[in-house]
Amino acid sequence: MSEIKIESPLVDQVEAVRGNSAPAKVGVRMTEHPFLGQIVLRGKSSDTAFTAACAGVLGCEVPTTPNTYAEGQGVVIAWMGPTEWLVLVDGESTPAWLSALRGALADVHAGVLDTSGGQTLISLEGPAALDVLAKGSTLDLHPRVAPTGFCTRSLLAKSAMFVRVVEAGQRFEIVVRRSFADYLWQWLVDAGGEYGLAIQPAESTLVLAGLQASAPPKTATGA
Amino acid sequence: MSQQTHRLSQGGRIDRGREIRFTFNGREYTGYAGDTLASALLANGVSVIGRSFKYHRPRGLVGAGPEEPNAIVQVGLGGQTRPDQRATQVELFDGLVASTSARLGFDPMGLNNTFSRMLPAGFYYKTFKWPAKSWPSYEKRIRQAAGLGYSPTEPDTDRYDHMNAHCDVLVVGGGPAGLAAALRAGRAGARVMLVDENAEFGGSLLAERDAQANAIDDRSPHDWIAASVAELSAMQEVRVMTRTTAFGNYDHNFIGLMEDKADYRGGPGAGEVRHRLWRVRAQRVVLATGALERPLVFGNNDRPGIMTASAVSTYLNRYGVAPGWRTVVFTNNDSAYQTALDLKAAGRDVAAIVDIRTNPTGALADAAREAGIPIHDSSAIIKARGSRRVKSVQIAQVKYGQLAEEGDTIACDVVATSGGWSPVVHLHCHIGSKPQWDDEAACFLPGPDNPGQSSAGSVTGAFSLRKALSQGFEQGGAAVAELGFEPTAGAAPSAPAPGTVMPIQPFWIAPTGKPLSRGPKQFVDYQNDTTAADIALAVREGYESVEHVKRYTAMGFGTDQGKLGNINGMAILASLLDQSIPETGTTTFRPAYTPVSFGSVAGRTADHLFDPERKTAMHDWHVQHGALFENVGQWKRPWYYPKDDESMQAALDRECRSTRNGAGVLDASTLGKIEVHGPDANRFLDMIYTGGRRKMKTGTCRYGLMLHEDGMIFDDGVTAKLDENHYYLTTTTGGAAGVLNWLEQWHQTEWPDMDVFFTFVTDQWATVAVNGPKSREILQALCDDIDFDREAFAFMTFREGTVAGVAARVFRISFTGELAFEINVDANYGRHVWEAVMAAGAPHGITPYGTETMHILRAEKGFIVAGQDTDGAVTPMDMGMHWAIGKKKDDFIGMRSLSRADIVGEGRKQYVGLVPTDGSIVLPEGSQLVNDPEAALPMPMVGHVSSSYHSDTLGHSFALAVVEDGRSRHGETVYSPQVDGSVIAATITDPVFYDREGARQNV
Repeated sequence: MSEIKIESPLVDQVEAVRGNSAPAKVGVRMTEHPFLGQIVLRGKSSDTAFTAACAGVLGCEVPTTPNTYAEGQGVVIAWMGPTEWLVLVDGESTPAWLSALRGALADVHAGVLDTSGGQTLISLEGPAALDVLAKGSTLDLHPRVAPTGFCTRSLLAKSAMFVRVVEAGQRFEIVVRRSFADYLWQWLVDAGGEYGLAIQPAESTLVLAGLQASAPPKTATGA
Repeated sequence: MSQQTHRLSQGGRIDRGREIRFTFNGREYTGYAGDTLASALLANGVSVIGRSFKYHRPRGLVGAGPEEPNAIVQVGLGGQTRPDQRATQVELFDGLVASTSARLGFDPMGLNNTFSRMLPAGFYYKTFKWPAKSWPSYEKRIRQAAGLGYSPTEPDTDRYDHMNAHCDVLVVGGGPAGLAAALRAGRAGARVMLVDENAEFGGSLLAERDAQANAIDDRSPHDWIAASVAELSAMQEVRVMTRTTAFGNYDHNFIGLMEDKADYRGGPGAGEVRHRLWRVRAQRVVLATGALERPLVFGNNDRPGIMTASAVSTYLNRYGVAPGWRTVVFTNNDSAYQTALDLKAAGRDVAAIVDIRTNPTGALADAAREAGIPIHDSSAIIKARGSRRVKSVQIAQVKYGQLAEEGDTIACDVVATSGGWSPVVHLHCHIGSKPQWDDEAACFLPGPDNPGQSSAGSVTGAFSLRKALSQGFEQGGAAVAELGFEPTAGAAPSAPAPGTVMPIQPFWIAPTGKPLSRGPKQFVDYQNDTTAADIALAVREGYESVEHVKRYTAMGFGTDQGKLGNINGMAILASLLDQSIPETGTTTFRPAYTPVSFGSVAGRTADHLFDPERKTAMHDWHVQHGALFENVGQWKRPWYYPKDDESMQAALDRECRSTRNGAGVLDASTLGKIEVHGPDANRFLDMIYTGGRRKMKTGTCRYGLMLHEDGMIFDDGVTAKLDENHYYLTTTTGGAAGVLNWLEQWHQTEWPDMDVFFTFVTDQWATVAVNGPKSREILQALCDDIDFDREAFAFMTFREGTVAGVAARVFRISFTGELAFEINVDANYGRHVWEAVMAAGAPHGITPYGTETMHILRAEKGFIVAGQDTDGAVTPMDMGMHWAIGKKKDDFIGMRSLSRADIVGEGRKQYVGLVPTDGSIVLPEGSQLVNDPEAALPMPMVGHVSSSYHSDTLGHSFALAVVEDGRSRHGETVYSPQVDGSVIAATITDPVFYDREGARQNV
């Protein structure tokens, strides 16, 4: 058997993989972060067995304030809805996180679903990032309304998106479903063109706000 | 090349160092940077710019802004040509090409003028009333004659754009009031947007002389504008936008803006956009939209050279252009005196000021007298002479609105008229507010403020600079204070106290001493050629409502929407009806204020970004292997894979043969997939599906039908039981989102007590469906941790294992009736596994097939496609799927409806097969079926064809259909009359055509 080939949904977008030749004036930088661990966590925040089990594995409480995310050691936990969270981890460590969560939640009404192959993450950064998003989103992502720590599901152009404010007004991460990714990427390239769009080569690591990617704590995996 | 004969030797906000060449109606001219097309044409002495809509009279410029009714031009060529542009707002750039489509020389349609009595008002109205069938030919002639612009016939390759914006305060209009409002709001730290339709801020100040006498805060007006804009631009939270028209005011402070990003400089650069449509949500809106000057109505008041007084001042002061050499000013208020003084200052003659008021007094009148300008009081111009240019005017004494005594004829080449000012209340009124008539100012003012909105400046009737500044400052402060900001202290920008003013005397039409229909034409609406006589005719014919009169006379239609003439027209109507102006009212103000380009409405929703193209992980492989694609919802699915110059049918036959005899593979990734889990998952799904789920064993699969409450099938799919109370549902490709909504709706609204979660995982899984007698061998070659033995891995079960090195869920289910396995893997590995399957299948001649072959193969087996063979009006029993209903179930959605009398009774359309008598004919899908093709019309229809194909397996065509009581009619013949008159006969059969025992999938 040949080597196992892994492909991002943006495989046909050459610039997404290799980057572009950056324009003289750069208003926005765009990078795909493929192959991250993207885990959907389902449970009830009122269920203390659920929240305690999650906290034990994730190293921090699951955020229960709507439209916020929390960061633990090598992990981002984003509130997606009253019973749903998106857990972002490094791709390599995804199996370990999955089994740690499934183990800890085995006896709880909860779900741990791997959606790593079903979506990809695109980061947008720079003074024009907000304007690029404003072209396709009716959300107000101004720092006064959407500070660092804000996240939500919404629409961008004609695609669903999850958006996370990594640095208020400056840096955003968008999670898009695989089948819409090619469309949304092309849309972003078109929308960003006028500001000077620098596309950086795809980077398959989780970029946290100053945090390093890591596997779940040993105690949590039971190892 | 023409000379700029009418350019003043100095002055104006133009850059005389930058000469600009442009072409108008095929002729080359030059102007300067900072000119509009209108000011440049005027500078070149071009007085006739177009021909009028109906009478084809020569027309020139009337205004200098958005109100311009005559100078409507086509700008640019090819795919980027833009119709209906106002020359007064088209900025000059090198290489500009513009034209008016009507001919300017001898115009045979000008005869319409001579014979105008045969083309009365309501002429068009009558043509489309009777005779109805003639309207299309009338329309064609009218459009040809009317000289409207044209749409590009080639594609527009430019980018257009949308932007959503949010702000604390949106200030519309960057004149003195708007600037003052934005400054106050911005200084308080609020998020402010200041927009103005012009190329630069300043509003009315730009039309005035930049004199120290008008100083604001001790600066000249132009310096004050520059300093204010600089201060605003430096504020982080303030966005200032010129060339941006607030075209619509919608509920809840939602404002539409159109920004010209490139028209003004000849087009966008690489990556840039031409127009941008802004959708603004503002907490507060300050409308500082200003006022437009009304012309006065008199005989032949449409002759080129007759303009509003403010337009004359604007051309003098802003553009350094004098429209002519000798002007007569005609007014009913003070402001036109300023124009007379401006003309004098520019070294132009003012032959007379004709003022309807008696003994004008006040600061401006005194200044005019001092300047030696003759003033004719209690007088009016009753008609103009000249054709392609005004040559003289006839004035007369007017007493009590009646002609008292005809006076002199005064030679002139310009007439500057002012009938007073109409505040631009449009935006205020878009959301339903009615404007209110103010007798003193003789104009409509905005009514009570809309929630979250206020008005400032001359739109409120505050026509003095000082008042406009203080109002703007006040409203800017009030807006931010309401939002919790602290407005900065300090006073409003100061302006000199206005001199004494004599009140306006409303004056709507100059008397001629004759009936309206007998004198020279007195135009009310230039663009639609509506005259005062037309309004009188409408009244004679019984129209009283201003809305009806508008439609009868066409007054206020057109690209200018009556900005200039409507108020005059309404006042004339009021006097004809012998009622007051407030009683008469205005027509409705609707968006858009000025026309909005289609490009900006479309934004980037065009071409490849028109709609998302959803792609599977294997999409690129399909492309590389020559697949043609079919749109299924937003998905691109391989349709079939023709080889070389193979015909479609040949390709389908080959794909079918290979699958039935060896192996075929389908990309089934697009099927909707939902994980359902939680302690109540069994209970919940038992309610959703017609069949039971509770008793399913872990590791098994079951086909399921979902019904709506009415008992009708709406989706189907296979459910796999991953674990107790943990399911993996598949849905149809197009129905996925609808099914998830359906589940959530029932959970959230009916059974919130059930503990169950639904998670959409369609995109997570790439699905490779390997079908055919050789599929087992192929799977065995790729996977060594699943036992593929017939008994060990039975039909309708699934296993987890490793396929081509990738973790997989393998389902033994079949949509072809053949032995089949569906491999589901993390979609990041989809391409890898697909290619591994192709390699492993190569020795068996594995053939990729698309949706068309999938349809043929499933139809041969009678398998339905929900949404194709079902149409939302068929039950499981209609489809012969009694077996899919759990006999012992207490309840499921739609169950009760299945026992309704009309559902169980006879005469329902039932699912059948059809075999055309001539097996070479494929019945068109959707064809209606009848029992007797000779029956009288309307022929009773007993069913329709839902799926129809040629079958290589069967050797003839076949179809699936629904036919009334069809299940008891097997063997009978039905007929399908076609649009071409032919009739296709077909025999009703069982809907399963192939392997009725189901042996092939059970090997």
